[in-house]
Amino acid sequence: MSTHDVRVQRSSICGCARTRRTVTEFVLDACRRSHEPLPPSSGDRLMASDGAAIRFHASLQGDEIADVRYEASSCATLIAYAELLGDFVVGKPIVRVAALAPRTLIELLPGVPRERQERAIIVAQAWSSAIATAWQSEHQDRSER
Amino acid sequence: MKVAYIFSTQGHTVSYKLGRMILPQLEENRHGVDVVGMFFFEDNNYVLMQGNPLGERLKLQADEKGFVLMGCDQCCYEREIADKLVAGIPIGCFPDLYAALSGNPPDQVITL
Repeated sequence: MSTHDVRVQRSSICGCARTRRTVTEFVLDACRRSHEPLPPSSGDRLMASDGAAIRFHASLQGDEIADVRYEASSCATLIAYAELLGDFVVGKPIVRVAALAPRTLIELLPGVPRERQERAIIVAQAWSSAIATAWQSEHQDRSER
Repeated sequence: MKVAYIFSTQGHTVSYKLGRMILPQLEENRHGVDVVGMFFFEDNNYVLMQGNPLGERLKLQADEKGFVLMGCDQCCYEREIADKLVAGIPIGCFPDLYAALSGNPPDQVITL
């Protein structure tokens, strides 16, 4: 299982620009951060038809994404899409990135064969689940305060 | 006997053992065993690239004889050729290889 702390990379967030990082670079980054603790708020663990699974953990700061990490099966494509998603969403308003289309991830990460691009679908779905959980948790905390 | 080949070491593995022994024998239907799969690690994946004469011939044999060809996904990503393989040759990792071979498993796995 791999974990990911995007805060390390906030200075390199590319936003809407096409990434020039490769799958291998994303996987190496994930390996370097694989021992980081996970935020308590997590979404559903989603599984592809072949058993590869992913679950995101997200935390919010006001109306922005503050931190994103994940647990994922050791599939290079899955990890690369998860890393890319982290780079893409941290620091952005929730309303802009709460629902990411798989197509966005696919377009931002060239070099993935078509038959492997379906990994982007469960990454996007797992992300939607995590952000919903984080949103509910954040608003519950606010109402209790 | 059914055999799966794992091309793991480099050097003359692909150009010599595959290109001059296994593949010509397959083309002449005299290899002596039923090949059910071939999996490629490291630089051996370059043989699977579109336009590579060995890779193209190998794909013809795979289609004709019904065996699996697969490139190691991380090896291909590292070399930025994952989306440049001969059409119909997938990349994958061990779970993908085992799944692909599960319907026609080998009696022996030969690592070269």
